[in-house]
Amino acid sequence: MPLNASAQSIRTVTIDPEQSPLSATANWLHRQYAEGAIWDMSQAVVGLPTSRACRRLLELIVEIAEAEHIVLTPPVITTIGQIPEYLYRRLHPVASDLMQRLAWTTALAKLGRDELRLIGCPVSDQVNWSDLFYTSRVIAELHRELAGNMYSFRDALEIASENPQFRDHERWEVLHRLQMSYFQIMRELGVWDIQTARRLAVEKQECGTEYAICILGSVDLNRTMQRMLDQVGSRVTLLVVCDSTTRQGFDDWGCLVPDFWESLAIPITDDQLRVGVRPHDQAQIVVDFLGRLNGKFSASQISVAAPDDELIPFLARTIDAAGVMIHDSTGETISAAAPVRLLSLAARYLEYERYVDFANLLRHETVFARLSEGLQETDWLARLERDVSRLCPMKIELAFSKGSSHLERIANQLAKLFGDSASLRSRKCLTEWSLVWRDVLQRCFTGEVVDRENPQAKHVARSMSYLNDALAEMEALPETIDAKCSAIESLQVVLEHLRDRQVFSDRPINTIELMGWLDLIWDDAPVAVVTSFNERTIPQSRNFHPFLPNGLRNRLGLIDNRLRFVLDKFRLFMLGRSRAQLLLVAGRRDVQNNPLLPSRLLFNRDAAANARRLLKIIHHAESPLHHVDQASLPRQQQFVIPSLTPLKELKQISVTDFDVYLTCPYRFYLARILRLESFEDQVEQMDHAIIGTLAHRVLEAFGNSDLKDSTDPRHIRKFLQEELKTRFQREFSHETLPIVEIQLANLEMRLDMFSEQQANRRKAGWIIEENEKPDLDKQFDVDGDPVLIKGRIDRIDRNETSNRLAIIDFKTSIRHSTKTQIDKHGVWRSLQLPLYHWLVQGSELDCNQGIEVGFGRLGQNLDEIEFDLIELSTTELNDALEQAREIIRAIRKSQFEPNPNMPYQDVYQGICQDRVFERWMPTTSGETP
Amino acid sequence: MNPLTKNQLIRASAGTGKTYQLSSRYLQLLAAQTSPQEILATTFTRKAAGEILDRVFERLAKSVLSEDFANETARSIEYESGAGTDFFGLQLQRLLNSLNLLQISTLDAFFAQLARAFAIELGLRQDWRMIDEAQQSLIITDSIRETLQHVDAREIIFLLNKGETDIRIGELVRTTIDQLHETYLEAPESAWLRVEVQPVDDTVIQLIIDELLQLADQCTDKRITSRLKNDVELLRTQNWPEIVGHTLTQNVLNGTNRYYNKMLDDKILQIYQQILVYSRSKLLVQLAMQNRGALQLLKIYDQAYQRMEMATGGLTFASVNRRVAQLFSKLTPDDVNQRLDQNIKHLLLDEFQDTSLSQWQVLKPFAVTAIGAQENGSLFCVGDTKQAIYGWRGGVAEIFDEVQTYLDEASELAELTESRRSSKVIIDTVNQVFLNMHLVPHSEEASEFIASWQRRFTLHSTHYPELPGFATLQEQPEDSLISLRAYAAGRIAELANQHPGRSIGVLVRTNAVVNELAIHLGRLGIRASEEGGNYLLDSAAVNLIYSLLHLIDHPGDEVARFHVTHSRLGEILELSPARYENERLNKQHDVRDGRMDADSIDDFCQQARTLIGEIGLARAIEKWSEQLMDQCTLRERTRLLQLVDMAFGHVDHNEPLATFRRQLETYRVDDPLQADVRVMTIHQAKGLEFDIVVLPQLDCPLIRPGGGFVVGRESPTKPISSVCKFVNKQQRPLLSAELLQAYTQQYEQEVNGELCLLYVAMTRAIHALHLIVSNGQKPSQKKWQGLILGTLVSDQNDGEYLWSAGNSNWDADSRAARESSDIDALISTNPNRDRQYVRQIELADLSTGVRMLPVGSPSRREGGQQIELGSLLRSSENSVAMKFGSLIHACFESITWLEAGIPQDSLLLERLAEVEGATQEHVEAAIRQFKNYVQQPNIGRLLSQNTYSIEVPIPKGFADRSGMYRVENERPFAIRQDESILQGFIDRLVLLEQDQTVLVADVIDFKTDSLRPGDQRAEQQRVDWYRPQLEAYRFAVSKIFRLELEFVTTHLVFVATDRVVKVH
Ligand code: SF4
Repeated sequence: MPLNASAQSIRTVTIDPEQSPLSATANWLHRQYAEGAIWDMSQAVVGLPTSRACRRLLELIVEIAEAEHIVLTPPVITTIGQIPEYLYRRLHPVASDLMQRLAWTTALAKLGRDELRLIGCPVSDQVNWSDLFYTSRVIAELHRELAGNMYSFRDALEIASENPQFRDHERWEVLHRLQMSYFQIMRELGVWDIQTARRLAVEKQECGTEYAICILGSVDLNRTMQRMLDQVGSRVTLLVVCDSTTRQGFDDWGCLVPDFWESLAIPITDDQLRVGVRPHDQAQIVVDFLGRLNGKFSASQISVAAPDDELIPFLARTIDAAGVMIHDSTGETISAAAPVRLLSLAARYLEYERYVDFANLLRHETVFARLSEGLQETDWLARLERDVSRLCPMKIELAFSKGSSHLERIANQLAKLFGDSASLRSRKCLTEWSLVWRDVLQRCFTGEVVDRENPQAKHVARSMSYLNDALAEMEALPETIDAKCSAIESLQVVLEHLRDRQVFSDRPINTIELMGWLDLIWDDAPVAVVTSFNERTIPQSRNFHPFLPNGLRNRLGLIDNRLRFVLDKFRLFMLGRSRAQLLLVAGRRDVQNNPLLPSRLLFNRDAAANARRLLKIIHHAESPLHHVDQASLPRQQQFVIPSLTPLKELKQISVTDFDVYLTCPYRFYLARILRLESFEDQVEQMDHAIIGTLAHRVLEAFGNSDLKDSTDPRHIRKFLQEELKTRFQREFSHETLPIVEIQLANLEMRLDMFSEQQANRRKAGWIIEENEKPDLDKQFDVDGDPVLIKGRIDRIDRNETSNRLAIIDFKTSIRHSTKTQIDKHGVWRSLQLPLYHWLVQGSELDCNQGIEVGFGRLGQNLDEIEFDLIELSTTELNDALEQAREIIRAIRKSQFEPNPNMPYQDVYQGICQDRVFERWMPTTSGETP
Repeated sequence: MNPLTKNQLIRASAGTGKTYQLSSRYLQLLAAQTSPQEILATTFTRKAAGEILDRVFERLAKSVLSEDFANETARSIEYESGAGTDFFGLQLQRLLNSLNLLQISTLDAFFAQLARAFAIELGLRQDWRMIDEAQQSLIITDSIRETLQHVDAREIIFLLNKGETDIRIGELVRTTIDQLHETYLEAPESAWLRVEVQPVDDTVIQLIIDELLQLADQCTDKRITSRLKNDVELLRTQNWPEIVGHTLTQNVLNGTNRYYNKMLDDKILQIYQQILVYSRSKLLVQLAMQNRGALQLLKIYDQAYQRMEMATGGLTFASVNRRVAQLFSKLTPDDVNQRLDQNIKHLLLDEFQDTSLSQWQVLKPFAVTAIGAQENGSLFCVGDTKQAIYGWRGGVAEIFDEVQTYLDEASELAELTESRRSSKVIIDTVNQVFLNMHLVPHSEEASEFIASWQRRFTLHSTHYPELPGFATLQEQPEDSLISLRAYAAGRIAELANQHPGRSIGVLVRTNAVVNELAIHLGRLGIRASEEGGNYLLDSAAVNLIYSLLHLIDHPGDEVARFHVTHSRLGEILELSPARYENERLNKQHDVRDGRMDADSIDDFCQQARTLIGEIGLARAIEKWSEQLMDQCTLRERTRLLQLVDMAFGHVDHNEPLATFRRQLETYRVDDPLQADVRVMTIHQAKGLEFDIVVLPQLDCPLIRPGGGFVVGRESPTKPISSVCKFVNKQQRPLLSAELLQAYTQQYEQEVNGELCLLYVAMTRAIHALHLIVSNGQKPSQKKWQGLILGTLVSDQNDGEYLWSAGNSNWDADSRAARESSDIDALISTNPNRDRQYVRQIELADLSTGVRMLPVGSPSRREGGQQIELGSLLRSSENSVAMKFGSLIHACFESITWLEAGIPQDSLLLERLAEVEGATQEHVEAAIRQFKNYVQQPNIGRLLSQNTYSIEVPIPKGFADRSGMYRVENERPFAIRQDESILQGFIDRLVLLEQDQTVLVADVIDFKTDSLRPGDQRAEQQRVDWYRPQLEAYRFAVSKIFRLELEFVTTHLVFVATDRVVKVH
């Protein structure tokens, strides 16, 4: 045990573990500092293990002061980690985190690629500034931990090298050089980082303080702290939680003596331990336990630790369902707050420039609000989607390039908020970017008034202040470490700076608090519940660190796995002693269903007792079922497939409608009567509909052209190619993406094949007679009540010798064949061909010599690009017409039941409940049960 | 011989107690004083890892508590000198003390640890994380998008797509990538270039055509003439596949040289041989280009993927594994041990047949070291090549055989064939099928591989011959009108009703069928859950929320809008159906109007987005779901709760809603309600057992129809040597022997895989096995059902069944038998099973022990309760000003009265060093400025003892103002104010004291706002802004010194304009 001459003068006060250590501390401070009606602690600094404990101690002090009616000057109450700042004089200003990060980044930029790779900076073809910035985080952390223990990288290397098996010399050499260059940069800036400042103070024996320092829970002080305390020994009082048997478990700095704690047995009774199988079960156990307290404690008196974040939602929701609100005091990051989210969305859009990112930026509530004001309308987003769905925007410029005045207006409005795109695309210094982003935020949020009393608004307001601070930091960067970077990179700096920023919202007074393990230990609620009492959570083990594996940590005297275990054992010791009620809950599986081990801390008894506990954990784990009061629930599905307003009358119907009805009557109603449309952001390629339209237009143009009688495939081909190109450019875009180009080329290939077929067809005497014949229609008698059937036929040919007619429908998508039109029971699968036939029969066209119907196939398979025509027999025709009649009758009776066997998935499946297990089935009367 | 040094390789057939063997080995090592950190035990699934752990713990614990168990355990681990409970007690303590060092995990988890330890060497970001397949699919999609934008993409895809005109390029590319990316990563580039092309002279073609025409003229056989003429056309259109594919050329190729049973004459033969040479060259050129095209595409894609992987920091297990494997080829086990801080000496590898080559690459050095280490290491492998069903995921059963070659003579090789799971009927059925399947009518492609599988199969037996059982093979009746799946569902429903309380596993080959069956069963009122769960979209309520989310993103989406507005949710959210619905209903088939309804939907969506922004998606979904709860059946309710769980668990706040909707489509979630029937794929059933197993999908082919690419290796454990686009049977004779070999390998793998699946499926059954096939199937080696029919069914029809064995009354029999079977004395039934859970929490009222009041500080009250967000950015015009402000404050705090002088620069410097983020330059500037400020008249008067006075009345009872002004700079305070603690510092507090009693107090707050001199309005605005803050100070001071408020004044000092403003 290290004993230092001056360390002798550090004063130690013991605190009885049966007491709340915080109350004991408050009382001790009262005894020490209160004189008459004055309790002046302005010269005292109190260090506590957690910031939560700091808050609680302040509260206790205020309570005493108010109860005793004394004039209080509170002491400085801070976490132990901040204590060193009261123990030495700073000779230089201290760099902010951001400055340190950028100093490291600047230092990293001076390294060669191999060196960078060696210390874990991902280097691909070129060195990205953002990679350097990213790496600086890791290095800064390493520096912080080592410097906190008085080591430079060089020192660490030397100590590591004592191990003959050590293999990472090269890496640490680079780290050392990097650190030297970092110090150089800091020197030039005339600033210190805090670790270096402390270290120098210790090394130069310059520690001293006017304050009286008291520290509670100094169980794991780092080396710097220990040395500092030695130097100011007489001013220090350590409050140590121990009884006579555990007194020897602490050294002169109040730190734990590992050997002592390792062998100490901490009793945990079987009642204090319960095991849940899954995360949900752990939560249920917590509720059961709290429920059994039978109202003896108030919400303030209960604290629940969730050392594993993943359990928090389970706990929150289960306890919530038990009628009690829970407050998560583990803190929230601000990344979800509106202003931060806005910047993230902007960054994403700037990075990929995809339509989907563009749309997501527009959907941000603040952007949406500003744009709605600017455009003076509210349905602009819906309109945009419709416009865009007609284009094929993968990158947003594509859409810009095509004249949609609506899109342009939106883009202009957006530019008013974000500035013009040229500026956003240039490289600027971080100091400049900070102004840009400040302006953007100001333009977006000026005029947004929130109420501070509203917790959500408070969250936003705080995040805005943090953002403001971050931008301010950035703006103040000195030139030497300022970097020229892109808009996205600058946003990365801002966002990363905020990444770890936590916001702690105020706890409503009637809520149970959920906190971290360490917070719980230094809390003083009489009821304590600890969840996830599993190995690797309590105690944690940190293995596999790329720079500091456990062995090296041990050598350097850093916190290693053994110390982590010992610390948690001490904490468990405190917990067991100071609480009226204690429950430890362990899990068997984590959220991902990985097996969990019980904590080692649960097994510090004799082998038989341990064996029994182990068997209990394996076999008696609890898995309460979801509890639902079944009686109160409906037995039958209540989510109806919406009933449809009956059709008053059916005056007309199109040929293709029949086929839709055949697939699913309900979908017919939605798609053909209500004509509902659907949109998605992810447009990756031209869809079938667009390609079909394009092909049809081209073929139509051909039918109207002078070449329509050509028998030379080369001429036809040339025509079709050119037509395709100009149409595409006119109607879709000038700039095409490779994928669209391929699609176009494919279509071109099909048209090539078609040219051959067309030429042959003309050679065989077929002349194009009608081309995209508009709206052929004819009254169709159904039970004396006629309906108008309409159809648009792609093309009608007539043979110059036989004078027969041929009705042709062009198909570009799924394979169509005249052979598969009728199923084995003689039922038509599609009524398209017979109905065209019927329509033509009654038209002015001369069809005395017979009619052929069929497809002009332009489908996927090149071999199958051909004209596929048949002649229909009278029986077939009549069957088809009768089938059509049946459909009309059904429609007139408003029979629109969904087809129960929909084989494919489409946008309507949610409405029709195609995948739903308990699908809603209308009772025969058609009413909901 | 010390059992420890013995390396062991155990082939354990299904149900023969693999886990027991493995746990025995673990205990054996432990008993030999091996440290747990020297033992690595791995398996493939999390479940199996959990089972191994439990088994080790349980056996050890029992051996501590019972002499009998101790003896039994000692026997099973061949521990000679009778180890007793004490001995095992020591081992248990040792194990428990090193729980943190335990290495019993999935291989994936082990590799993830390795990757963490070697993050730098692997070039990984420090914060990389594991992602699952659904998350990966997002990265894949983005990478494909990027690939398709690549300049070269067009040409490549064109190549790849040659002969096809499918417009769905995205899908084509995705399929190619899905199939080949792993191959690309594994195969050397040369493997893609294996098609050898001999160029031909293009002028020959015209000669051939002329000759064909000539021959056609001469030929008298009509059929041949027409063939010749056709071929002329085919040659002209360069339709090589057709030319090579027709019967005549095929017959020339295979040497029969006949056409319509007639020998071809020489002339024809010669010309066709020429044609073949020519076509072959043409086809191979095309094939080679396609291979190259695929290679290039994958190259581009892989670059994009790697970039995305880096950018997101998300790695899949496969990716981690590959990286680690690459790295480990350069490291020694010593390197690894040093970094891991441990020394892995003993390897226990479970399910060894599923090990992939890249996994083996990592394990092999450990294994080889272990084998060679004599006493200091050992290897233990257990597995079953008959259960190698993960070939598609890279599992290579042949590694099992390879390992055998590393072992020395002392090693133990064992085969276990006695089932500890299945009844005799089941085992007999398994034997009958797998011992006789080679006798079933042949299929040329599969029979060779079926025969070799059969040879590897050893007769199985059972440990429980008395266990009752039943097996049937049933055919869907001919007159049944429903689909086979629907029929099977009906049968399963019957079984579920007949055997309540029995576990029923319905095992199928594909995921699609799982879903189909689950829906059918669900509709028959049978609770069916799939291992790994179903999509939440099997719930109507979830669908509704899904549509709502879609609508929020896309206010113009009419389908989603229809869904939401015509539902209970629409009512709750007060969304009425769109007006256009009625208009369209009445104006049928008019040309669609381009106008949208401008109505409340846009507002609603904006509100919803704002809500999500404020409280998060999860809470928003929770809120909406709660409103639907009263409508829900038990199952719907459960699903909604799971939806909320999913939202809480998976949502990243910055991901768009679409990502969450995508998750809903991709993730399966267990239905936690007790399921009567579990439906799952056979892959998922690995390691499970059921009282009753139903196999309703037996129409699986042993060889799948070809397509995609064929991958060849010299041998299964060797690296890939060739990759080639699949060609049909007709063209295959044109390929080189090496490529042909690849086809054989592929077929062998497929057949093996399918047989393994069938074996795994059948051996899951404990008591009963029911096989269901469609009507009219024949024995054959083409499909599973053909093998089953061919091996089980003899001529006579067995009434209801095509075939059956055992006792249909097995259930009653086994229930009777079960009563008597002995149960573990040590572990009585779980007392928690019937525990009554308290579901409501009652709390004492608030007055009891109130703690942890919120802490507020006055400076947070600036601007008052209503605050404009933009102003929070304006509050300090720029950061320099902010830093400057802190520095100036620090300066002012150093002054009590000016008369006492301004502190020395050095002292100020020291003070100012406390201000974080300021540079030396800032500090010096601030000091200069401060000196100017104090020279100003108003500020000078305020800080000067001679001129300062508080302009408030003195409390009654104190005659005069005489007394002492006391200054407290940066005066800390903490008080309770209502339900909060108010804490802060007062810049300068001047107290007038008389007889140690504070009479009046003046709060002075310094502000560095840059105001224009004389701008009264601006100043007034700032004063209003700060007023709430000063009010708080005033309150605090009055409370601390117990003064009435009227005796506390407050002043704002704008140092830049030398203005001292009285606020209170
Ligand atoms: S011998 Fe051959 S070429 Fe001559 S007629 Fe017969 S089939 Fe035709």
